[in-house]
Amino acid sequence: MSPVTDNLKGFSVTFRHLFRKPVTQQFPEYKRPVYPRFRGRHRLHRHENGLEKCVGCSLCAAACPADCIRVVAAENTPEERYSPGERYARIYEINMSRCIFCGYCELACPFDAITLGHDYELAEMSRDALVYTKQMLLEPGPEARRTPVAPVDPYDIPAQEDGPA
Amino acid sequence: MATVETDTVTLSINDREVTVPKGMSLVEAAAEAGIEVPVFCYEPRLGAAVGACRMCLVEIEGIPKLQTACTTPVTDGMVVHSHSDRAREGQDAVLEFLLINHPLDCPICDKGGECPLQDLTFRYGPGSTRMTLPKRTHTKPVPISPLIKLDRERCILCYRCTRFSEDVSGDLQLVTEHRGANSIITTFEGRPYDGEFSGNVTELCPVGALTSISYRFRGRPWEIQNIPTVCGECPIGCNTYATIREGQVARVLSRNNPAVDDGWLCDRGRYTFPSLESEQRITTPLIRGGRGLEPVDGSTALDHIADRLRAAVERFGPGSVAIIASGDQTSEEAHLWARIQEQALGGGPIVCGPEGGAGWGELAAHSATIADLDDADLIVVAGATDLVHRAPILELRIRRAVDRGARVVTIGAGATRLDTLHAAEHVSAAPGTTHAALLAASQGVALKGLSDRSVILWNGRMSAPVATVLAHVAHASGCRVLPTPLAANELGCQAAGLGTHTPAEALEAVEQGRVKAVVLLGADPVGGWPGGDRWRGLMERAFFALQVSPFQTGSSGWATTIVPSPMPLEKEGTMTNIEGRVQRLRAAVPPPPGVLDGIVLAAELGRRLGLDMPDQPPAVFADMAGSRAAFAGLTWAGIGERGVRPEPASGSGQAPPAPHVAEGEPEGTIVVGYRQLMSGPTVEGAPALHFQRRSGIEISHDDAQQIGVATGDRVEVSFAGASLTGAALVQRRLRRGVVRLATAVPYVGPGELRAAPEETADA
Ligand code: SF4
Ligand code: SF4
Ligand code: SF4
Ligand code: FES
Repeated sequence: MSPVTDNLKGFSVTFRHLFRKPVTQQFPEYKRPVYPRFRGRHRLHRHENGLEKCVGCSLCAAACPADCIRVVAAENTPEERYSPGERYARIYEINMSRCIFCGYCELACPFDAITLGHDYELAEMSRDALVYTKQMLLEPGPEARRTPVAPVDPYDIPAQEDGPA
Repeated sequence: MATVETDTVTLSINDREVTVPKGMSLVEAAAEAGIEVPVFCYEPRLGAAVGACRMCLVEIEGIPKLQTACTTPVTDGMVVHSHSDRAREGQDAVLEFLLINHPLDCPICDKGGECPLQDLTFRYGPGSTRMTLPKRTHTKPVPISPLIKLDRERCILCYRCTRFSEDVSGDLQLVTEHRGANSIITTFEGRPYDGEFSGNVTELCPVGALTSISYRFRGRPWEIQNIPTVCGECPIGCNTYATIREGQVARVLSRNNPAVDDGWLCDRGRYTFPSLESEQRITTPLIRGGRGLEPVDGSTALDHIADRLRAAVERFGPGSVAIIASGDQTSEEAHLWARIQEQALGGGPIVCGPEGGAGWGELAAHSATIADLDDADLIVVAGATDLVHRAPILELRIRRAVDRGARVVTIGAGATRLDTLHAAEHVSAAPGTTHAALLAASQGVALKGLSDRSVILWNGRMSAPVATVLAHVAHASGCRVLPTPLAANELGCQAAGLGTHTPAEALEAVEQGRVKAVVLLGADPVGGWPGGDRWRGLMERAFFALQVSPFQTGSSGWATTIVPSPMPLEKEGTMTNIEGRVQRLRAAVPPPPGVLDGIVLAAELGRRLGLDMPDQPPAVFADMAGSRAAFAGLTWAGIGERGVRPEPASGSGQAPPAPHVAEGEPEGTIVVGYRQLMSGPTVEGAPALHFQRRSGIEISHDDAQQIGVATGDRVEVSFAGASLTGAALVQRRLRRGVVRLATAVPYVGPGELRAAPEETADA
């Protein structure tokens, strides 16, 4: 083995790849679909009758290892009812810049009120904007920001330029 | 082995040998052995165990059925298993039963996270339920007073709350209605639970059935910090935790100090924290200018004050500034202000509280501790009003002492709550002559048996003649005395040098023209002290009148400069309580922006006047310990969580001078105006407490008949140049000729009582 053959051998790999189709995905033109159980941006759900499922119990805040959930509860009144029962979350905030997307809040919630969705487009120009308020988290979420869920294996190399809509 | 009569028994619990005193319950014996037996209803502070909840089931060899450990006394040679399969099965079954009708709405429940039912179910209970039938339901939650809500679904009927109401506070207001599974906790006749100690049931309830309305949904145990501090509302200084959530005080809990409060708090201490955010608070310094009081910043105000004080001393000579303090200051603040007065202003008069400082020194050698009440065989309570207004928590201690067999003698006008205790004897005394009656009683049969195991509680104003009588009686009989100061830190302020003159002496100095400027430290002499007009005269004429206070008060109108000050929950420092215990106050929250810390304010002012003053609490304390005899030898770090009580100076041992008390009973109607517990700016700032205020004019049965009124009729009392109309409250046990009512300004003296003319419809 000489240094020449070694080098040629090595460069042959490089050259082979030069003529391959690139695997780079063009975000945001192409949004890679996620696994069905992918843990992205949280959502707060409602009951069928429109009341919030969250009662403001702070169990999610207790479970959160990053300590990024803030819940301030208050009492429902007959005139202003947000959730079934006596208690609701007056303030519900998640600091997305600290969240590690572990999903513990989802596990802790006794009412399935919070789930981690599929949206991963969370970049913001300021840190303040990453503190998501209850209005932002409560469904229906902003349509435009919802990442599609594909019925396909997300790590399949896409066949066409654009991913599934 | 010869059997010896002993006071101890030896038994085995979970194979551990333990020797405990005879008569102890199994729960306590197990605790001695380091074994926990789960309990709900057992609470030794509530008196004898009742065995209501059955949680404490244990297996005792030789007894076929499981037994409740809380009601079973230990016997020699007992073999007990608390963790055997049978015991565990019993505990599991009890929890399953308790949970059958329990709503399990823990996520909503305020107790969630600090709930004994949750904890014990987790450790001893079933993992799931077999209950498939609908649960019993109740309306939830029902307010039982403006302070407390009751959720009957969560109640496990442990009877802690009703036992408290019946046996500890004696208000008999919480009761059980119906029988068996239909039992519910309710208030007597559905009336609001109106008692000075009602808040304690929220801490006693082992589930979320009784909860404080002010803490409803405010936080979870993992979202809060509990700051250990002491209550600054009265001179008992109950130990408390201030629960902080997001920079705000959310509740006040008791921090059991058996030597002081025994784990109880009164509602004033527990529920006045909302006054921290009261509208009435002053949050910026104000200087009176051409257009009234104008806000200025802190350093401008300090410069102005220093300048005026210096000018006063230059123009009118040293001693021309009077300091009028309320006695609610920390000892550190008091020390610094006293230094300013002594070293920079030439030592003018300092008054501490409307009752001044006369006589305390004489009693130091005879002073009792609060815990002395526990093993006293005779407790004498002398005073014209209910003890609860000056020393609330002591009432609970006296009740317990009575349960243990102590004798109680009350000396005063009668019709107080302690008079109704089954063991109480009463000596009637006209208000104003109570000390004379005490002296006479101590020489007669009424106080026979006064010994070194007796305590005299002086529930009234301290003055030189009173102190002489108390010292004389204490010296003659060996008993100890526990006088009640009026303000929270009156004793600490005096010990720190803030309090050299009585109000009368100060007024005299004012009227002789010696005082030209005045500094009000938290005090409101115009609105709340006897002699308000004379104080107002002083303020009107004063060259400079500074008010340092958290709130706008009746005196604010005459102040030329006002500086806001923090409230006790916002201060670091120490306070000296009724028994002389020095306790740490810790700042739970910072004062509102614009409010200078009390120590910093005094230190900055001192520096501007050329004094070298520390401005950190430990340094001030060290400075104080170095220069004030009462604090000598104490260290900041040595105070600890429980406070320290320096040994009071032992007297000379010589007999105090024989007291001379005026003979003869006062003639005519005597009016007793007292400052009630639920009054003052902090209660003002906590509207939920207002329903507990006492109103009505107490008159005796004889007087009522004489003027022809019954309870509820309107009567008019005139005293001290004013007259008041209110509903009469006829008290059978009240002394004839005495009219008693809650007033803003304390008063004892002659007055007149008559039936008020019928109100016209449009009046
Ligand atoms: S999201 Fe769930 S766990 Fe979190 S506060 Fe709401 S109900 Fe409780
Ligand atoms: S009382 Fe305890 S167990 Fe019952 S609902 Fe409240 S937190 Fe849960
Ligand atoms: S309300 Fe609470 S303290 Fe009273 S009986 Fe029920 S569970 Fe016990
Ligand atoms: S603790 Fe023994 S029966 Fe309740």
